[in-house]
Amino acid sequence: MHVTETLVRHVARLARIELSDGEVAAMVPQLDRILGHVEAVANVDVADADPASADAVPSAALRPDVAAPSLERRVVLRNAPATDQVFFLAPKVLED
Amino acid sequence: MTSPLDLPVAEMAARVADRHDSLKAADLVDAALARVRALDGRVRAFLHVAEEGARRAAEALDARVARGEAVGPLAGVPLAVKDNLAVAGMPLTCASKILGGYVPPRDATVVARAVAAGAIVLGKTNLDEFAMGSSTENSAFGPTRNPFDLERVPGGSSGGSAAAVAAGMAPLALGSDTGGSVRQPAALCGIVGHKPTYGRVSRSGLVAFASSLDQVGPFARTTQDAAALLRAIEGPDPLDATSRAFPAARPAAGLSGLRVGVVEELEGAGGDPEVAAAVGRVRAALLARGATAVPLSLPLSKAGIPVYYLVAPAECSSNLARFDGMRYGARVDAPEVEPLYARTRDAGFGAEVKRRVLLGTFALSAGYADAYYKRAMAVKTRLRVELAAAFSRCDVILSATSPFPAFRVGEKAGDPLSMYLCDVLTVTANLAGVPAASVPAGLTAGGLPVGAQLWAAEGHDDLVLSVGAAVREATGLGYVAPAIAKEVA
Repeated sequence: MHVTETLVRHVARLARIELSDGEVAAMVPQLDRILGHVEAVANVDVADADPASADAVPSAALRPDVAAPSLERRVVLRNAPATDQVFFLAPKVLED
Repeated sequence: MTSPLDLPVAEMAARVADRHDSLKAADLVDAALARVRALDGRVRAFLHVAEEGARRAAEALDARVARGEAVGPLAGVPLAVKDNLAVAGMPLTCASKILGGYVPPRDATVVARAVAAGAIVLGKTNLDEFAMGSSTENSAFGPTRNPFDLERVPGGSSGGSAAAVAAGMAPLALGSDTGGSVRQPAALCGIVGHKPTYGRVSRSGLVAFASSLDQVGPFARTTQDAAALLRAIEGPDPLDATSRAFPAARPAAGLSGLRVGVVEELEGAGGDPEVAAAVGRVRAALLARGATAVPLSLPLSKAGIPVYYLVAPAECSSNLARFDGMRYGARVDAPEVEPLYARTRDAGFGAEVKRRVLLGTFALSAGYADAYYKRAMAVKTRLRVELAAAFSRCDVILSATSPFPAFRVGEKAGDPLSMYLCDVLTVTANLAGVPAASVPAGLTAGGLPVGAQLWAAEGHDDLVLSVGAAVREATGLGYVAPAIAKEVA
Protein backbone atom coordinates (compact mmCIF):
# COMPACT_ATOMS: atom_id res chain seq x y z
CA MET A 1 0.00 0.00 0.00
CA HIS A 2 1.44 3.33 -1.06
CA VAL A 3 0.09 6.26 0.96
CA THR A 4 -0.72 9.38 -1.08
CA GLU A 5 -2.08 12.82 -0.25
CA THR A 6 -5.36 11.79 -1.84
CA LEU A 7 -5.65 8.82 0.50
CA VAL A 8 -4.82 10.90 3.58
CA ARG A 9 -7.44 13.52 2.59
CA HIS A 10 -10.04 10.79 2.00
CA VAL A 11 -9.39 9.13 5.37
CA ALA A 12 -9.32 12.50 7.18
CA ARG A 13 -12.74 13.30 5.70
CA LEU A 14 -14.08 9.94 6.91
CA ALA A 15 -12.62 10.68 10.37
CA ARG A 16 -14.08 14.22 10.41
CA ILE A 17 -10.72 15.90 11.00
CA GLU A 18 -10.01 19.03 8.95
CA LEU A 19 -6.25 18.71 8.44
CA SER A 20 -4.24 21.66 7.19
CA ASP A 21 -2.17 21.21 4.02
CA GLY A 22 0.94 21.08 6.19
CA GLU A 23 -0.55 18.32 8.34
CA VAL A 24 -1.50 16.31 5.26
CA ALA A 25 2.01 16.63 3.85
CA ALA A 26 3.57 15.50 7.14
CA MET A 27 1.15 12.61 7.53
CA VAL A 28 1.89 11.03 4.12
CA PRO A 29 5.42 9.69 4.85
CA GLN A 30 4.56 8.84 8.47
CA LEU A 31 1.51 6.73 7.61
CA ASP A 32 3.42 5.20 4.70
CA ARG A 33 6.18 4.02 7.04
CA ILE A 34 3.74 2.74 9.69
CA LEU A 35 1.58 0.89 7.14
CA GLY A 36 4.71 -0.61 5.62
CA HIS A 37 5.44 -2.13 9.03
CA VAL A 38 1.96 -3.32 10.03
CA GLU A 39 1.38 -4.93 6.62
CA ALA A 40 3.38 -7.86 8.06
CA VAL A 41 0.01 -9.24 9.23
CA ALA A 42 -0.50 -10.29 5.61
CA ASN A 43 2.33 -12.84 5.95
CA VAL A 44 0.69 -14.82 8.77
CA ASP A 45 -1.31 -17.89 7.82
CA VAL A 46 -4.76 -17.38 9.31
CA ALA A 47 -6.62 -20.06 7.35
CA ASP A 48 -8.13 -21.66 10.46
CA ALA A 49 -8.62 -18.54 12.58
CA ASP A 50 -11.95 -16.84 13.05
CA PRO A 51 -11.51 -13.08 13.43
CA ALA A 52 -14.66 -12.83 15.56
CA SER A 53 -13.32 -15.26 18.17
CA ALA A 54 -10.49 -12.85 18.98
CA ASP A 55 -12.98 -11.37 21.43
CA ALA A 56 -11.21 -12.11 24.70
CA VAL A 57 -14.20 -12.65 26.92
CA PRO A 58 -16.96 -15.20 26.92
CA SER A 59 -20.20 -13.28 26.55
CA ALA A 60 -21.00 -11.83 29.92
CA ALA A 61 -24.33 -12.45 31.57
CA LEU A 62 -26.67 -9.57 30.97
CA ARG A 63 -27.54 -7.57 34.02
CA PRO A 64 -31.18 -7.28 35.03
CA ASP A 65 -33.10 -4.65 33.09
CA VAL A 66 -33.93 -2.44 36.04
CA ALA A 67 -34.65 1.26 35.73
CA ALA A 68 -32.19 3.35 37.71
CA PRO A 69 -31.88 7.09 38.12
CA SER A 70 -29.84 8.82 35.42
CA LEU A 71 -27.86 12.03 35.72
CA GLU A 72 -29.83 15.22 36.18
CA ARG A 73 -30.15 17.37 33.10
CA ARG A 74 -28.37 20.37 34.61
CA VAL A 75 -25.43 18.11 35.56
CA VAL A 76 -25.15 16.78 32.02
CA LEU A 77 -25.49 20.18 30.38
CA ARG A 78 -22.89 21.76 32.65
CA ASN A 79 -20.07 20.26 30.52
CA ALA A 80 -21.53 21.18 27.12
CA PRO A 81 -20.02 23.96 25.01
CA ALA A 82 -23.43 25.39 24.02
CA THR A 83 -26.89 24.80 25.52
CA ASP A 84 -30.15 26.63 26.11
CA GLN A 85 -30.45 25.00 29.56
CA VAL A 86 -32.71 22.31 28.08
CA PHE A 87 -30.98 21.10 24.89
CA PHE A 88 -27.46 20.91 23.46
CA LEU A 89 -27.17 23.58 20.76
CA ALA A 90 -25.85 22.62 17.33
CA PRO A 91 -25.86 24.27 13.90
CA LYS A 92 -29.03 23.70 11.94
CA VAL A 93 -28.94 20.49 9.86
CA LEU A 94 -32.39 20.73 8.23
CA GLU A 95 -33.68 23.54 6.05
CA ASP A 96 -36.78 25.45 7.22
CA MET B 1 12.76 5.43 57.77
CA THR B 2 12.33 9.14 57.34
CA SER B 3 8.65 9.37 56.49
CA PRO B 4 5.55 7.25 57.17
CA LEU B 5 4.95 7.50 53.41
CA ASP B 6 7.79 5.02 52.96
CA LEU B 7 6.08 2.30 55.03
CA PRO B 8 4.53 -0.72 53.32
CA VAL B 9 0.93 0.13 52.40
CA ALA B 10 -0.57 -2.53 54.69
CA GLU B 11 1.34 -1.15 57.67
CA MET B 12 0.53 2.46 56.82
CA ALA B 13 -3.19 1.66 56.56
CA ALA B 14 -3.24 -0.50 59.70
CA ARG B 15 -1.68 2.31 61.71
CA VAL B 16 -4.15 4.88 60.37
CA ALA B 17 -7.03 2.50 61.17
CA ASP B 18 -5.80 2.11 64.76
CA ARG B 19 -7.33 4.95 66.78
CA HIS B 20 -4.60 4.56 69.42
CA ASP B 21 -1.79 5.03 66.91
CA SER B 22 -0.38 8.51 66.45
CA LEU B 23 -0.23 8.22 62.64
CA LYS B 24 -3.20 9.88 60.96
CA ALA B 25 -4.40 10.01 57.37
CA ALA B 26 -3.89 13.78 57.57
CA ASP B 27 -0.18 13.23 58.28
CA LEU B 28 0.20 11.02 55.21
CA VAL B 29 -1.61 13.52 53.00
CA ASP B 30 0.44 16.43 54.36
CA ALA B 31 3.66 14.50 53.78
CA ALA B 32 2.62 13.59 50.23
CA LEU B 33 1.61 17.19 49.43
CA ALA B 34 4.94 18.43 50.81
CA ARG B 35 6.79 16.08 48.46
CA VAL B 36 4.65 17.18 45.51
CA ARG B 37 5.45 20.82 46.30
CA ALA B 38 9.16 20.08 46.62
CA LEU B 39 9.58 17.85 43.57
CA ASP B 40 6.80 18.22 41.05
CA GLY B 41 7.97 21.51 39.59
CA ARG B 42 10.78 19.42 38.09
CA VAL B 43 9.11 16.02 37.57
CA ARG B 44 5.69 17.33 36.43
CA ALA B 45 3.87 14.12 37.24
CA PHE B 46 0.61 15.82 38.20
CA LEU B 47 -1.83 17.75 36.04
CA HIS B 48 -4.08 18.51 39.00
CA VAL B 49 -3.31 18.34 42.73
CA ALA B 50 -6.42 18.02 44.88
CA GLU B 51 -4.82 19.69 47.88
CA GLU B 52 -7.96 20.82 49.65
CA GLY B 53 -10.06 17.77 48.73
CA ALA B 54 -7.34 15.38 49.87
CA ARG B 55 -7.01 17.18 53.21
CA ARG B 56 -10.78 17.14 53.74
CA ALA B 57 -11.00 13.43 52.87
CA ALA B 58 -8.15 12.64 55.26
CA GLU B 59 -9.75 14.56 58.11
CA ALA B 60 -13.07 12.81 57.49
CA LEU B 61 -11.34 9.43 57.56
CA ASP B 62 -9.47 10.29 60.76
CA ALA B 63 -12.79 11.35 62.33
CA ARG B 64 -14.32 7.99 61.43
CA VAL B 65 -11.39 6.19 63.02
CA ALA B 66 -11.71 8.36 66.13
CA ARG B 67 -15.39 7.37 66.38
CA GLY B 68 -14.33 3.72 66.32
CA GLU B 69 -15.65 3.00 62.82
CA ALA B 70 -14.01 0.34 60.69
CA VAL B 71 -12.04 1.68 57.72
CA GLY B 72 -10.65 -0.23 54.76
CA PRO B 73 -7.31 -1.84 53.91
CA LEU B 74 -6.06 1.32 52.14
CA ALA B 75 -7.01 3.66 55.01
CA GLY B 76 -5.35 7.02 54.54
CA VAL B 77 -3.04 5.91 51.70
CA PRO B 78 -2.49 8.72 49.16
CA LEU B 79 -3.39 7.62 45.63
CA ALA B 80 -2.40 9.26 42.35
CA VAL B 81 -4.89 8.73 39.49
CA LYS B 82 -4.06 8.79 35.78
CA ASP B 83 -5.99 11.60 34.17
CA ASN B 84 -8.01 9.33 31.87
CA LEU B 85 -9.96 8.03 34.88
CA ALA B 86 -12.93 10.00 36.21
CA VAL B 87 -12.84 11.48 39.70
CA ALA B 88 -16.07 13.35 40.44
CA GLY B 89 -15.49 17.08 40.70
CA MET B 90 -11.89 17.04 39.42
CA PRO B 91 -11.03 18.08 35.85
CA LEU B 92 -10.57 15.14 33.45
CA THR B 93 -8.32 16.06 30.54
CA CYS B 94 -6.78 12.88 29.06
CA ALA B 95 -3.90 15.36 28.50
CA SER B 96 -5.89 16.64 25.51
CA LYS B 97 -7.14 20.07 24.57
CA ILE B 98 -10.37 18.56 23.24
CA LEU B 99 -11.71 17.86 26.74
CA GLY B 100 -11.01 21.46 27.83
CA GLY B 101 -12.93 22.21 31.02
CA TYR B 102 -14.65 18.83 31.36
CA VAL B 103 -15.46 17.84 34.95
CA PRO B 104 -16.99 14.37 35.30
CA PRO B 105 -20.13 14.01 37.39
CA ARG B 106 -19.12 10.67 38.92
CA ASP B 107 -16.15 8.52 39.90
CA ALA B 108 -14.74 5.71 37.79
CA THR B 109 -15.55 2.37 39.45
CA VAL B 110 -11.88 1.80 40.32
CA VAL B 111 -11.67 5.22 41.99
CA ALA B 112 -14.88 4.67 43.95
CA ARG B 113 -13.62 1.27 45.10
CA ALA B 114 -10.18 2.53 46.11
CA VAL B 115 -11.78 5.39 48.04
CA ALA B 116 -14.22 2.99 49.70
CA ALA B 117 -11.15 1.02 50.82
CA GLY B 118 -9.81 4.19 52.44
CA ALA B 119 -7.47 5.60 49.78
CA ILE B 120 -7.20 9.39 49.49
CA VAL B 121 -7.09 10.78 45.94
CA LEU B 122 -4.10 13.10 45.81
CA GLY B 123 -4.59 14.28 42.24
CA LYS B 124 -4.58 13.47 38.53
CA THR B 125 -1.43 12.48 36.68
CA ASN B 126 -0.02 13.28 33.26
CA LEU B 127 -0.20 10.87 30.32
CA ASP B 128 0.29 10.68 26.59
CA GLU B 129 -2.87 12.20 25.10
CA PHE B 130 -5.69 9.64 25.38
CA ALA B 131 -3.02 7.12 26.54
CA MET B 132 -1.45 7.02 23.05
CA GLY B 133 2.30 6.94 23.44
CA SER B 134 5.23 5.41 25.30
CA SER B 135 6.95 8.47 26.78
CA THR B 136 4.35 10.91 28.21
CA GLU B 137 5.67 13.46 25.70
CA ASN B 138 2.39 13.46 23.74
CA SER B 139 0.67 15.54 26.42
CA ALA B 140 -1.00 18.85 25.61
CA PHE B 141 0.41 20.04 28.96
CA GLY B 142 4.08 19.13 28.37
CA PRO B 143 6.15 16.08 29.21
CA THR B 144 6.67 14.38 32.56
CA ARG B 145 10.32 13.74 33.50
CA ASN B 146 11.92 10.56 34.79
CA PRO B 147 12.77 11.00 38.51
CA PHE B 148 16.02 9.04 37.94
CA ASP B 149 17.18 11.48 35.25
CA LEU B 150 15.17 14.60 34.50
CA GLU B 151 16.54 14.71 30.93
CA ARG B 152 14.83 11.39 30.22
CA VAL B 153 11.25 10.23 29.75
CA PRO B 154 9.36 8.25 32.43
CA GLY B 155 7.86 5.97 29.79
CA GLY B 156 4.18 6.04 28.97
CA SER B 157 1.45 6.39 28.57
CA SER B 158 0.92 6.35 32.38
CA GLY B 159 4.21 8.21 32.92
CA GLY B 160 2.80 10.66 35.47
CA SER B 161 1.53 7.89 37.73
CA ALA B 162 4.82 5.97 37.47
CA ALA B 163 6.93 9.07 38.14
CA ALA B 164 4.74 10.07 41.12
CA VAL B 165 5.31 6.69 42.80
CA ALA B 166 9.01 6.50 41.87
CA ALA B 167 9.67 9.98 43.28
CA GLY B 168 7.88 9.04 46.51
CA MET B 169 5.04 11.53 46.03
CA ALA B 170 2.39 8.79 46.30
CA PRO B 171 2.74 5.20 47.56
CA LEU B 172 0.09 3.99 45.10
CA ALA B 173 -1.15 5.06 41.69
CA LEU B 174 -3.65 3.93 39.08
CA GLY B 175 -2.83 3.69 35.39
CA SER B 176 -4.29 2.09 32.30
CA ASP B 177 -2.52 -0.45 30.08
CA THR B 178 -3.63 -0.95 26.46
CA GLY B 179 -0.29 -2.05 25.00
CA GLY B 180 2.11 -1.68 27.93
CA SER B 181 1.15 1.71 29.39
CA VAL B 182 1.43 0.53 33.01
CA ARG B 183 4.32 -1.95 32.69
CA GLN B 184 6.70 0.07 30.48
CA PRO B 185 6.67 3.26 32.63
CA ALA B 186 6.95 1.07 35.76
CA ALA B 187 10.10 -0.47 34.23
CA LEU B 188 11.58 2.88 33.21
CA CYS B 189 10.89 4.34 36.69
CA GLY B 190 12.07 1.34 38.72
CA ILE B 191 8.75 0.38 40.34
CA VAL B 192 6.11 -2.36 40.10
CA GLY B 193 3.33 -2.05 37.53
CA HIS B 194 0.68 -4.69 36.89
CA LYS B 195 -1.63 -5.20 33.89
CA PRO B 196 -4.43 -7.40 35.21
CA THR B 197 -6.17 -10.15 33.25
CA TYR B 198 -8.63 -8.60 30.76
CA GLY B 199 -11.97 -8.46 32.59
CA ARG B 200 -10.60 -8.55 36.15
CA VAL B 201 -10.95 -4.79 36.67
CA SER B 202 -13.85 -2.58 35.58
CA ARG B 203 -13.21 0.14 33.00
CA SER B 204 -16.34 2.12 33.79
CA GLY B 205 -15.16 5.72 34.06
CA LEU B 206 -11.95 5.06 32.13
CA VAL B 207 -11.96 7.06 28.90
CA ALA B 208 -11.93 4.31 26.27
CA PHE B 209 -8.97 3.98 23.91
CA ALA B 210 -9.08 0.40 22.54
CA SER B 211 -11.84 -1.42 24.37
CA SER B 212 -10.75 -4.99 23.58
CA LEU B 213 -7.33 -4.26 25.13
CA ASP B 214 -7.77 -1.56 27.82
CA GLN B 215 -7.27 -2.60 31.42
CA VAL B 216 -6.76 -0.52 34.58
CA GLY B 217 -3.78 -1.50 36.73
CA PRO B 218 -1.87 -0.55 39.89
CA PHE B 219 1.56 1.06 40.37
CA ALA B 220 3.44 0.58 43.65
CA ARG B 221 6.93 0.17 45.08
CA THR B 222 6.38 -3.52 45.88
CA THR B 223 4.26 -6.36 44.56
CA GLN B 224 2.56 -6.59 47.97
CA ASP B 225 1.46 -2.95 47.74
CA ALA B 226 0.31 -3.46 44.14
CA ALA B 227 -1.69 -6.52 45.23
CA ALA B 228 -3.36 -4.46 47.98
CA LEU B 229 -4.59 -1.94 45.39
CA LEU B 230 -5.61 -4.70 42.96
CA ARG B 231 -7.68 -6.39 45.73
CA ALA B 232 -9.52 -3.10 46.29
CA ILE B 233 -10.40 -2.39 42.64
CA GLU B 234 -10.98 -5.85 41.08
CA GLY B 235 -14.24 -7.71 40.60
CA PRO B 236 -17.35 -7.65 38.43
CA ASP B 237 -19.11 -4.34 37.87
CA PRO B 238 -22.57 -4.03 36.31
CA LEU B 239 -21.29 -0.92 34.50
CA ASP B 240 -18.64 -2.87 32.49
CA ALA B 241 -20.04 -5.91 30.68
CA THR B 242 -16.56 -7.35 30.14
CA SER B 243 -15.81 -7.44 33.88
CA ARG B 244 -16.13 -10.78 35.62
CA ALA B 245 -15.14 -12.81 38.64
CA PHE B 246 -12.12 -15.09 38.61
CA PRO B 247 -11.70 -18.19 40.75
CA ALA B 248 -9.91 -17.67 44.04
CA ALA B 249 -6.17 -17.28 43.68
CA ARG B 250 -4.09 -20.40 43.88
CA PRO B 251 -1.80 -20.32 46.89
CA ALA B 252 1.41 -18.41 46.36
CA ALA B 253 3.73 -20.88 44.71
CA GLY B 254 7.24 -21.32 46.02
CA LEU B 255 10.03 -21.18 43.50
CA SER B 256 10.79 -24.86 43.83
CA GLY B 257 9.49 -26.54 40.70
CA LEU B 258 8.16 -23.30 39.22
CA ARG B 259 8.35 -23.61 35.43
CA VAL B 260 9.73 -20.38 33.96
CA GLY B 261 9.15 -19.97 30.24
CA VAL B 262 11.95 -18.38 28.23
CA VAL B 263 10.69 -17.25 24.84
CA GLU B 264 13.22 -17.49 22.04
CA GLU B 265 11.68 -14.62 20.06
CA LEU B 266 11.67 -12.23 23.03
CA GLU B 267 15.26 -12.79 24.13
CA GLY B 268 17.20 -9.62 23.50
CA ALA B 269 14.51 -8.45 21.03
CA GLY B 270 16.36 -5.52 19.48
CA GLY B 271 17.37 -4.59 22.97
CA ASP B 272 20.02 -3.09 25.10
CA PRO B 273 22.68 -5.55 26.37
CA GLU B 274 22.38 -4.19 29.93
CA VAL B 275 18.64 -4.96 29.89
CA ALA B 276 19.27 -8.48 28.61
CA ALA B 277 21.93 -9.00 31.30
CA ALA B 278 19.61 -7.77 34.07
CA VAL B 279 16.84 -10.13 33.00
CA GLY B 280 19.41 -12.92 32.75
CA ARG B 281 20.42 -12.29 36.37
CA VAL B 282 16.78 -12.50 37.49
CA ARG B 283 16.38 -15.78 35.64
CA ALA B 284 19.58 -17.20 37.14
CA ALA B 285 18.41 -16.26 40.65
CA LEU B 286 15.07 -18.03 40.11
CA LEU B 287 16.78 -21.14 38.76
CA ALA B 288 19.24 -21.14 41.67
CA ARG B 289 16.24 -21.30 44.02
CA GLY B 290 14.73 -24.36 42.38
CA ALA B 291 12.77 -23.04 39.41
CA THR B 292 13.22 -24.77 36.06
CA ALA B 293 13.65 -23.05 32.72
CA VAL B 294 11.33 -24.06 29.88
CA PRO B 295 12.54 -22.95 26.44
CA LEU B 296 9.58 -21.81 24.34
CA SER B 297 8.90 -20.45 20.91
CA LEU B 298 6.11 -17.94 20.23
CA PRO B 299 6.58 -17.30 16.50
CA LEU B 300 3.49 -15.07 16.32
CA SER B 301 4.80 -12.70 18.98
CA LYS B 302 6.77 -11.17 16.10
CA ALA B 303 3.43 -10.08 14.65
CA GLY B 304 2.46 -8.42 17.95
CA ILE B 305 3.32 -4.85 16.95
CA PRO B 306 1.69 -5.06 13.48
CA VAL B 307 -1.50 -6.58 14.97
CA TYR B 308 -1.57 -4.10 17.84
CA TYR B 309 -1.05 -1.06 15.61
CA LEU B 310 -4.01 -2.08 13.47
CA VAL B 311 -6.45 -3.25 16.17
CA ALA B 312 -5.79 -0.45 18.69
CA PRO B 313 -6.04 2.43 16.17
CA ALA B 314 -9.18 0.87 14.63
CA GLU B 315 -10.86 0.79 18.02
CA CYS B 316 -9.61 4.27 18.94
CA SER B 317 -10.95 5.74 15.71
CA SER B 318 -14.36 4.48 16.75
CA ASN B 319 -14.11 5.37 20.46
CA LEU B 320 -12.83 8.90 19.80
CA ALA B 321 -15.72 9.67 17.43
CA ARG B 322 -17.59 10.85 20.53
CA PHE B 323 -15.37 13.94 20.76
CA ASP B 324 -17.36 16.10 18.37
CA GLY B 325 -17.75 19.43 20.16
CA MET B 326 -21.42 18.84 20.98
CA ARG B 327 -21.89 17.37 24.43
CA TYR B 328 -18.68 18.16 26.30
CA GLY B 329 -15.25 19.69 25.92
CA ALA B 330 -13.98 22.23 23.46
CA ARG B 331 -15.77 23.41 20.30
CA VAL B 332 -14.61 25.37 17.27
CA ASP B 333 -17.77 27.02 16.00
CA ALA B 334 -18.84 26.85 12.37
CA PRO B 335 -22.08 27.71 10.59
CA GLU B 336 -22.63 24.08 9.60
CA VAL B 337 -22.30 20.90 11.59
CA GLU B 338 -19.76 18.99 9.47
CA PRO B 339 -17.09 21.72 9.56
CA LEU B 340 -17.83 22.20 13.26
CA TYR B 341 -16.92 18.55 13.89
CA ALA B 342 -13.87 18.60 11.64
CA ARG B 343 -12.44 21.90 12.93
CA THR B 344 -13.08 20.98 16.56
CA ARG B 345 -11.27 17.67 16.07
CA ASP B 346 -8.37 19.26 14.18
CA ALA B 347 -7.88 21.89 16.88
CA GLY B 348 -8.54 19.57 19.82
CA PHE B 349 -6.50 16.47 19.02
CA GLY B 350 -2.71 16.35 19.05
CA ALA B 351 -0.57 14.93 16.23
CA GLU B 352 -0.26 11.37 17.59
CA VAL B 353 -4.00 11.05 18.23
CA LYS B 354 -4.74 12.24 14.70
CA ARG B 355 -2.21 9.77 13.30
CA ARG B 356 -3.86 6.86 15.10
CA VAL B 357 -7.40 7.95 14.26
CA LEU B 358 -6.41 8.18 10.58
CA LEU B 359 -4.60 4.84 10.68
CA GLY B 360 -7.61 3.18 12.33
CA THR B 361 -10.10 4.84 10.00
CA PHE B 362 -8.06 3.56 7.06
CA ALA B 363 -7.87 0.02 8.50
CA LEU B 364 -11.67 -0.05 8.85
CA SER B 365 -12.53 1.69 5.58
CA ALA B 366 -14.36 0.14 2.64
CA GLY B 367 -11.98 -1.82 0.46
CA TYR B 368 -9.27 -2.15 3.13
CA ALA B 369 -11.03 -3.62 6.21
CA ASP B 370 -10.53 -7.26 5.10
CA ALA B 371 -6.82 -6.92 4.38
CA TYR B 372 -6.03 -4.88 7.49
CA TYR B 373 -8.49 -4.94 10.41
CA LYS B 374 -10.03 -8.37 9.89
CA ARG B 375 -6.69 -9.91 9.08
CA ALA B 376 -5.19 -8.42 12.26
CA MET B 377 -8.10 -9.79 14.33
CA ALA B 378 -7.53 -13.25 12.86
CA VAL B 379 -3.84 -13.10 13.78
CA LYS B 380 -4.88 -11.97 17.28
CA THR B 381 -6.95 -15.15 17.61
CA ARG B 382 -3.99 -17.28 16.55
CA LEU B 383 -1.75 -15.45 19.00
CA ARG B 384 -4.13 -16.17 21.90
CA VAL B 385 -4.12 -19.87 21.03
CA GLU B 386 -0.33 -19.91 20.76
CA LEU B 387 0.09 -18.26 24.15
CA ALA B 388 -2.47 -20.53 25.83
CA ALA B 389 -0.49 -23.53 24.56
CA ALA B 390 2.69 -22.01 25.99
CA PHE B 391 1.07 -21.75 29.42
CA SER B 392 0.30 -25.46 29.38
CA ARG B 393 4.09 -25.96 29.45
CA CYS B 394 5.14 -23.24 31.92
CA ASP B 395 3.71 -21.34 34.90
CA VAL B 396 5.13 -17.94 34.10
CA ILE B 397 7.04 -16.35 31.24
CA LEU B 398 9.98 -14.13 32.13
CA SER B 399 11.13 -11.44 29.69
CA ALA B 400 12.26 -7.85 29.72
CA THR B 401 9.49 -5.23 29.92
CA SER B 402 11.08 -2.63 27.68
CA PRO B 403 13.88 -3.34 25.18
CA PHE B 404 15.85 -0.38 26.59
CA PRO B 405 15.99 1.84 29.66
CA ALA B 406 14.59 5.39 29.70
CA PHE B 407 15.50 7.38 26.58
CA ARG B 408 16.06 11.13 26.33
CA VAL B 409 13.17 13.56 26.04
CA GLY B 410 12.79 14.30 22.32
CA GLU B 411 14.91 11.34 21.19
CA LYS B 412 12.07 9.48 19.47
CA ALA B 413 9.62 12.33 19.07
CA GLY B 414 10.22 12.77 15.34
CA ASP B 415 9.77 9.10 14.47
CA PRO B 416 6.38 7.61 15.38
CA LEU B 417 7.31 4.07 14.28
CA SER B 418 10.39 3.95 16.53
CA MET B 419 8.14 5.00 19.43
CA TYR B 420 5.70 2.18 18.55
CA LEU B 421 8.54 -0.35 18.74
CA CYS B 422 8.97 0.50 22.47
CA ASP B 423 5.92 -1.73 23.00
CA VAL B 424 7.38 -4.83 21.32
CA LEU B 425 7.58 -6.84 24.58
CA THR B 426 4.31 -5.67 26.15
CA VAL B 427 1.56 -5.71 23.49
CA THR B 428 1.29 -9.50 23.33
CA ALA B 429 -0.14 -9.77 26.87
CA ASN B 430 -2.86 -7.25 25.93
CA LEU B 431 -3.68 -9.01 22.66
CA ALA B 432 -3.99 -12.32 24.54
CA GLY B 433 -5.79 -10.85 27.58
CA VAL B 434 -3.32 -12.37 30.06
CA PRO B 435 -1.91 -10.75 33.22
CA ALA B 436 1.63 -9.37 33.26
CA ALA B 437 3.64 -7.28 35.69
CA SER B 438 6.90 -5.38 35.52
CA VAL B 439 9.12 -5.65 38.59
CA PRO B 440 12.42 -3.86 39.33
CA ALA B 441 15.49 -5.73 38.03
CA GLY B 442 18.24 -3.34 39.08
CA LEU B 443 19.91 -0.33 37.52
CA THR B 444 22.17 0.09 34.50
CA ALA B 445 25.75 1.29 34.95
CA GLY B 446 24.36 4.75 34.21
CA GLY B 447 21.86 4.46 37.07
CA LEU B 448 18.70 3.92 35.02
CA PRO B 449 16.11 1.35 36.16
CA VAL B 450 15.47 -1.90 34.27
CA GLY B 451 12.24 -3.90 34.55
CA ALA B 452 11.66 -7.64 34.31
CA GLN B 453 8.27 -8.74 33.04
CA LEU B 454 6.36 -11.75 34.38
CA TRP B 455 3.37 -13.08 32.48
CA ALA B 456 0.95 -15.87 33.37
CA ALA B 457 -2.17 -17.53 32.02
CA GLU B 458 -5.53 -15.74 32.17
CA GLY B 459 -6.73 -15.23 35.75
CA HIS B 460 -3.37 -15.92 37.38
CA ASP B 461 -2.67 -12.37 38.51
CA ASP B 462 -1.75 -13.55 41.98
CA LEU B 463 0.84 -15.94 40.60
CA VAL B 464 2.44 -13.08 38.66
CA LEU B 465 2.60 -10.91 41.78
CA SER B 466 3.80 -13.67 44.11
CA VAL B 467 6.58 -14.66 41.69
CA GLY B 468 7.38 -10.94 41.53
CA ALA B 469 7.79 -10.97 45.31
CA ALA B 470 10.01 -14.05 44.99
CA VAL B 471 12.16 -12.25 42.43
CA ARG B 472 12.78 -9.52 44.97
CA GLU B 473 13.70 -12.06 47.65
CA ALA B 474 15.92 -14.09 45.34
CA THR B 475 17.77 -11.13 43.81
CA GLY B 476 17.63 -8.53 46.54
CA LEU B 477 16.52 -6.11 43.81
CA GLY B 478 13.55 -3.87 44.43
CA TYR B 479 12.50 -0.24 44.41
CA VAL B 480 15.29 2.15 45.29
CA ALA B 481 14.52 5.83 45.71
CA PRO B 482 16.05 8.12 43.06
CA ALA B 483 18.40 10.86 44.26
CA ILE B 484 15.71 13.52 43.80
CA ALA B 485 13.45 11.77 46.33
CA LYS B 486 16.15 11.92 48.96
CA GLU B 487 16.04 15.72 48.96
CA VAL B 488 12.79 15.70 50.94
CA ALA B 489 11.54 14.06 54.12
